[in-house]
Amino acid sequence: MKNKHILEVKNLTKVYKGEGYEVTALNDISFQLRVGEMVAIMGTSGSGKSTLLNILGALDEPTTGTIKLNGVCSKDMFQEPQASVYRRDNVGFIFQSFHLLKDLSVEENIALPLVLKGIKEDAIDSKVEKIINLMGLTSWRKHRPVQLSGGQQQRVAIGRAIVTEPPIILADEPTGNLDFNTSEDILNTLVSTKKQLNQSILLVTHDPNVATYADRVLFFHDGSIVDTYNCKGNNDLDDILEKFKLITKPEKQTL
Amino acid sequence: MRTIQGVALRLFKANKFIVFSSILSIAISTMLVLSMMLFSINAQDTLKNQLKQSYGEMDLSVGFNMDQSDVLTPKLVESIDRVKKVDKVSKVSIAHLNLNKLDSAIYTVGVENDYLAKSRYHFTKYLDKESVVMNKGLAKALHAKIGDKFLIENKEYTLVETVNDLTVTGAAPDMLFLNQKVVKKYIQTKQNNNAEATYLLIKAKKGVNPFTLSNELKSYNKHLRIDIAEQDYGMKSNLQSLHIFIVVLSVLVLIVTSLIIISNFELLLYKMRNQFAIMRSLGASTKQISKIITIQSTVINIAGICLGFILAFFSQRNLYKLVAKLLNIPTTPSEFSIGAAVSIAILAFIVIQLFLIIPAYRSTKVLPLKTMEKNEKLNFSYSKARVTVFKVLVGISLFLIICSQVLPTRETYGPAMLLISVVFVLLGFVLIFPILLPKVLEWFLPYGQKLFGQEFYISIKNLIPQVRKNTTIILMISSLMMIAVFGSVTLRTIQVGQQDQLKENYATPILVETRLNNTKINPVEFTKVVEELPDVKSVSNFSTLGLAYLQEEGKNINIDYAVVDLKRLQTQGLISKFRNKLADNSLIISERFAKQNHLKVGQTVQLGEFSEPKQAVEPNGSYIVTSIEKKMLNGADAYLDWSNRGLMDVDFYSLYVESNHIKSAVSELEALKSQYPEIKVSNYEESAKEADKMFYQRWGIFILVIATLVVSTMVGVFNSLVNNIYSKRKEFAVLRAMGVTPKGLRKVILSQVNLYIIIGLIIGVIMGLLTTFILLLVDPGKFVIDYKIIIAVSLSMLVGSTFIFWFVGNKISSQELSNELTNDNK
Repeated sequence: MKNKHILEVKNLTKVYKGEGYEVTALNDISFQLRVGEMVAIMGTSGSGKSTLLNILGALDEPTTGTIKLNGVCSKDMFQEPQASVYRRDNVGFIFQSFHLLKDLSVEENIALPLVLKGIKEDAIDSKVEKIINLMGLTSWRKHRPVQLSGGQQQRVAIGRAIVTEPPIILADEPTGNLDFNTSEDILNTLVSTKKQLNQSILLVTHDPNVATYADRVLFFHDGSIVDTYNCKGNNDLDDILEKFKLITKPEKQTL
Repeated sequence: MRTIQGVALRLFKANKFIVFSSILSIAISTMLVLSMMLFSINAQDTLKNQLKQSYGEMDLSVGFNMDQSDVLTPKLVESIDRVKKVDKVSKVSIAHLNLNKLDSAIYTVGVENDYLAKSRYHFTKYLDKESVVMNKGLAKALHAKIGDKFLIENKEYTLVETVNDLTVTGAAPDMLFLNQKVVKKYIQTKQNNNAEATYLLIKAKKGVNPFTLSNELKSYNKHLRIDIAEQDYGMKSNLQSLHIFIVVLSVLVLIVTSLIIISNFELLLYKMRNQFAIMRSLGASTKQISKIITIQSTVINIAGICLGFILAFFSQRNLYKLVAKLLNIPTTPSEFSIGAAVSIAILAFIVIQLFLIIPAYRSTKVLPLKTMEKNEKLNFSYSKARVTVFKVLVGISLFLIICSQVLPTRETYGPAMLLISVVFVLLGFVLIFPILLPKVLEWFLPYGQKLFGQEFYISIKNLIPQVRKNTTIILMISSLMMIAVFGSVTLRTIQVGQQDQLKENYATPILVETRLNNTKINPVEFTKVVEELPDVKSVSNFSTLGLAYLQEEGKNINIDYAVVDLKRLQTQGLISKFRNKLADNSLIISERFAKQNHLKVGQTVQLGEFSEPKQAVEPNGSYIVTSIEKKMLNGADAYLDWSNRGLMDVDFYSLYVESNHIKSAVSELEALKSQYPEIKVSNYEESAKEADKMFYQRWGIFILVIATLVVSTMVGVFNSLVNNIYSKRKEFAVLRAMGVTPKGLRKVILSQVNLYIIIGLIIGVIMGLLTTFILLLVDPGKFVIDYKIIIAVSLSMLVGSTFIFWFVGNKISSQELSNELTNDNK
């Protein structure tokens, strides 16, 4: 099961067309994500990382290419209302700015995806309870986001993302707004969640430190995957840094 | 919060002020609409009940006066009973019988035991030949109780019931009620006649006009006196038109309220937009978001309607008293018709809920977070299409307006065409103004800067990109102003028109008209009867209009003629003195008709009449044009005298009566109603007074409604504007960081807010005047603008906004600058 591919991306291209100009944000991308694997996507600004995440979350439509999730490739997945259903059933989002609903409490924020999915009320309670315990938020369950620290808010966001047990989690710079210690805490939470729930995670970051928590790193440059790295578990940081420096200076790059 | 409904209500709680102000707006409008509608229904019901109290179920009563020699013989009664139009006849005999105990003659009414008599005299018990009923006043004087026996004309009767005193004329006469046969026998014996009854209470069959029936009954004996049970005609017609006025106002109130609620929901949507965008990213469908808004709007609507209903229920007692006193309309405050109130409340709910589909639809436009544009969508979509549609709508409107004035079918279809053109103009305006307005503001920018300073320039610059977002605010204010202008101009124009119309109608101070279409009144005879009245100075008669044809050069030209008494008309000065002598075939024509057909005084013309058997116009004779009049009464093209005998296909229509003592003359004429029940007596003074009274009744209601709408709109508009201002706190902080003083910032805020209001007011005035002008083309005449209302509404809004936003501006400019600069405002 662990070696099974949960996500297969083939020849994905995204071209933005405007008045008299064309921008290729993604250029013939292909990769797979295994069950229970955390893959970090690294690249400079404008390399196509966010575009990839948007497309995988059915928030944007590719120009060409296919996406198979759990072996299923749906042609209509980018049109409404199928796009909403796809997000609801298959994707958990973790945002850099947390994006919790400010008027709802911690447990209500976590319960929200279940409510949207139409899960029965008693089932919602038990699932929410499980996640609150997993995230260590028991004392904060009735608090609203404005009463929490950044780290706590991101835990709530993680809890919200995993409560429906989606096939994949898409995390966009999850530690971007956090200090070093809190970032570590969050990343450890993500790794632990991945292990406990066998969760597949795609994580976008520009921080090599963050990338070391992943199982694998994909390096993006100008819309293409230019390099990959399989994390060994130690001394990954230097290797990742090295590869990252190379992609930021393309004239010196050697593959 | 385990369901979508739960999410909807949960998000609700976080926006208490918007929710509360929306509920309050609906509650105030519901209370206003309910109070007005129930007041009107109650007033009409009160009038009906008053009628029933006075007359019971009868439609008319028939009999002879005591001083007349005729009596209602058994044969006559039978004939009347057999009339097809009559449903029920109840005999009543009147006498004065001696009550032994008091040794005095008491007014005694002999009645039958049927519903007509019981409803007329309000007794319930069966009256046999030994029973008596008396009024409570008499029973009290006699210390009588039910079961007591009394001698009346030395015969014993048992008291079976007492009834309330009949205070018809103020004084309450003592009355005894006995079985009709008893009283009839007494009268027949005493007066030695075969009177079957003194008078008959008659119920007409359903659908029968009492005036037509009275005409028919008169044919059995022309001396019969007939009283028709009718409501005060003037009051009845006033209440009917008041009801229509109130219905129209109520609809307008609901429309303005809906706009206020939509604006509040725009605000709510804007505040919750980020949260909705997050939910969309989590997989919420557009349907689920729309459901949330729909649930919230339904809850607000229901809460508002219920609160308004309760407020109307508890305030109605005091409100009715106040309004009835102000408007001089009788009502019975204890009657709160729950059925009618619930129906009206449900209708109001439906109207508002239909409008709330708009914010529900707009909520479906919220995009998921990642694809949401960071800057709000500033430009209108489909600008070119809007301009095109606007041009088409205005083009169609103009075409319809022209058609409504020139087409031959304009009498029938004209009003509908004008109404459609108004709707199109308004629609076109709603489409185009958000595109035009920024251009107008850009043009105004340099002038505004010179006139009002730098802060004003900043305000306009800020305002231009926000036009789309604040369309609803501007629409709310302009709708309010439109209603104020339309209502006030229409009412004032109608008032002036009515005054002019009255002057035209009342060629003489008193007018006597028939209410029947095919009256049997002989005009010449009737004129003589009226002339003999002591306070009548002079009288002339006028017929209905007949249709003849001026036969000229093989053509038949329509001519509407009236048959009149030319001499009498001349005496009264209603036509000019003739140069030539009057002949039987004298023809007086209007100046307009003379010009159209090139006719002169002294000219002989051939007139014809349409013959039904021959289906063609047959010559009727030659007539001499004796005079050409500038103005003709009742729209006639020509007058002929009764002596002409040729063209007589007309009926009696009216009498023009002059008098030096108008009040007495009117009373004398009113007394003739018993002989001629179908007549209507009106005088200019009373009519003018009534018209004024009616106008001020409507004006009073209109002012009440406008005042309430101004308050509601102010709450809605200011709420939206406050949130608008607060959402820009970061921008204001940046301005302060760049050196704008607190005073300058207040000026920026006040300029912006007042600019919105002024734009709304100007647009409202223009659209209001345009709408009114188009609609008044139905009956072109004077167009009277009430500047006081326009100024009052404008001042209320501007003073209110200046007052509130002075405080808001103060508050914002006193906040900690560093906090304001980092505030997210989401």
